[in-house]
Amino acid sequence: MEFEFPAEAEQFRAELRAFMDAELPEWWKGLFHDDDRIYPFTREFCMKLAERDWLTMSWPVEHGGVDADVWRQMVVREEMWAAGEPRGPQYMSLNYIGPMLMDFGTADQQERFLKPMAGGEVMWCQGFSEPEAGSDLAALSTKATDADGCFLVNGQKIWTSYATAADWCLLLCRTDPGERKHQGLSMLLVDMNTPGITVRPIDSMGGPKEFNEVFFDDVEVPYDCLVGPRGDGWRVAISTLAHERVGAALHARVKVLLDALIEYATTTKDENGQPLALRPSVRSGLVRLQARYRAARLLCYRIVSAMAAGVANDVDPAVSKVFSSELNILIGNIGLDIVGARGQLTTGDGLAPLDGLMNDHWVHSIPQPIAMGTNEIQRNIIAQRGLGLPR
Amino acid sequence: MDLMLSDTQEMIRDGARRLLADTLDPDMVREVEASADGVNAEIWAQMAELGWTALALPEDIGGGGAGLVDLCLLGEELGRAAASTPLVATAGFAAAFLQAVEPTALTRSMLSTLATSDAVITPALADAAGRDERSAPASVLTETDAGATISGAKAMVPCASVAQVLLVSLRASDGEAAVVAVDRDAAGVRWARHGATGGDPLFHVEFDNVSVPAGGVLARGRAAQQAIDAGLDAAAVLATAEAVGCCEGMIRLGSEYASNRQQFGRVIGSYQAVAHRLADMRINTDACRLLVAETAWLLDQGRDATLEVAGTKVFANEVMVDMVHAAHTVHGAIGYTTEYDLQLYTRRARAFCLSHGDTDAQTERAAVALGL
Repeated sequence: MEFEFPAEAEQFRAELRAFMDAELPEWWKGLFHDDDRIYPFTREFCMKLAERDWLTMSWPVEHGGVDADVWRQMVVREEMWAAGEPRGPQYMSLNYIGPMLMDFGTADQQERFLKPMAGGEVMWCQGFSEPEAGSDLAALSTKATDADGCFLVNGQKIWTSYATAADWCLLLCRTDPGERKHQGLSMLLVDMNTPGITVRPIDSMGGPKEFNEVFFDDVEVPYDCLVGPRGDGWRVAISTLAHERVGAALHARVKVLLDALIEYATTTKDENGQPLALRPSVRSGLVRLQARYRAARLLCYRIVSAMAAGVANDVDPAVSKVFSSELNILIGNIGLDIVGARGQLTTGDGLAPLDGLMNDHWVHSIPQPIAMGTNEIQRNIIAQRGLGLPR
Repeated sequence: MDLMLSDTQEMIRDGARRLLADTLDPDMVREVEASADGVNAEIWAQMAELGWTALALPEDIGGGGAGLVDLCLLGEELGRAAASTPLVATAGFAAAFLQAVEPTALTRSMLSTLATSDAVITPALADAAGRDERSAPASVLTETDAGATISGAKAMVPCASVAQVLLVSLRASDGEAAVVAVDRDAAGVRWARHGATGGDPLFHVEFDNVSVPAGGVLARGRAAQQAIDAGLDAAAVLATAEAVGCCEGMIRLGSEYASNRQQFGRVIGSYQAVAHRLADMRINTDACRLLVAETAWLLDQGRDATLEVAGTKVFANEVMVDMVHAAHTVHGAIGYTTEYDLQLYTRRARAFCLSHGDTDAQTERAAVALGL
């Protein structure tokens, strides 16, 4: 066992931080904010990362990567998530849509789609969830039928992040009837500029741009945009979701918030002139968060260690996802209690403690136990595959 | 960064699991708990014979040359088997304490004894009148030209009835702290076992004008406090590893029970209300194990790990209290009976949360280390 990053990975972290300090503009608050400058900025930012070979580091050389050490890749994930994910939507293509294409795509598809991803030029969105297919994803009903030399897609997706900006969509839909609902699904790559696609933003607690509905009305998709075997889309989707959960460094944002709270508590005095840090509840809250931050980080590193050793399993990512997402909820709530009444004031209000950081985090933490497979589904995975409990 | 066990570490873990499976069953755990000494003496002797109790001691004195990380693997297996041994007191506290004080002929000899035998050396720190191990001692060390003596009473001394030497914290006549090595068989030492919820072998030990042999004062003042801290930190981490093993015991029993018990025509483990409690136990046990490993590793590297030791204990205390009740809830009434094994684990786990630094004490240490 070894509980330190390799020296060269830490050296790289320092370089990456210096780069981000220089590149992140004053107005940047994170990906999930309501600001029209965000998506164009993230595209430029990714292209600059690509120029330095820092965008697709973990990818194999043949697909435009540098076959980087897994811990170097973890440094990227941590630093990006800590800074509010300035790669924008592209973390998805880098972490799991690209690797999915490497696993299941044809040589032509890899040539056509991986290069632009590695260059940082293209944004993808993920069309999986539907109004009637959330946790029960395989119940989805968006259909791709055979038309004149292509698929014709009809249906509706929902909770599609980044759909207003995306160039392409990874679409899971039903191409064939199956005896069971997991059969007859297929994975398609859909150009978002194809006629018949309508994107409707869903105003949410996190702002008007975090989620969308996407409607498909007789959308023509060429046959060469089918990834993996027709009717075997469920297997492709499961593999994609496994990559997705491994990629998350949800603990990295917790460290930023914890440092901010420690600074706030030690420098802010109460009405008696005593630093907040002397209150037993504040001390207890921060100590609990610090230990949980360590645990979340180690649970994430355990997945990467197991992958590097070739002994990855389904249960560890589920454990990590539940723990980290719930820690994000906890730090939002403990953080709001520490900053007190003015914690409800929003970013930009001069009286908002930490410029509304805790309130902003609290709002954006709400979806974390829901996104990427709800924590109830993760607990089912842990109980059934980890503990052998019956379904 | 690499969180996988090495081949050697897997061998330690698997070897310990096999030995304990072959030599200890729950009925023996009950017998040991009810015995006067409260210790699995045969298992402890076997472990010493195999060199496991000296795993973390330096090779040049006959130890295994490994570290606390490896010792914690052993600790977890003992916890899984609900075994009662002096591992935390001796290989945890005494070994770390004796390596932290200024070396003398006596400390060298005691370390060498630990490395090569099944001798038990145990801390006697908490005063009978005090709150816990870190409270200032009221027991006194009196030094005259004729020699030194100690008097006072200590509470919750682990494994005193099987110990050769007690490491006793005292207040010297100058008011400073001191730690003294006393033969358990010396005249004036009396001990009586406490009844304790976890079944741990804890003793009330009285010292009535007990003579301290020459060189028996091992440390004084700040050095004494630092060596005690080193011992308590190693003991806390190792005890947490044992408690993680207890949690594994609860998860095993809970998963078996929930996979077999039927109600309303279904196996209860298929109800999410039951399954998710067990899943949470898995999550928090894994988190504890990783925190233990990282903390042990930092101590092995010689780093200041006050924040990590204290934070790990605070986290473990919090989640283990929940786990104890989750395990009982999963089992229903049967888990409350003594003929069922669950209580062997849950009593130990709950007692652990109060030992080796309770939540308030460790929170305060961690808060200071965090700069608060």
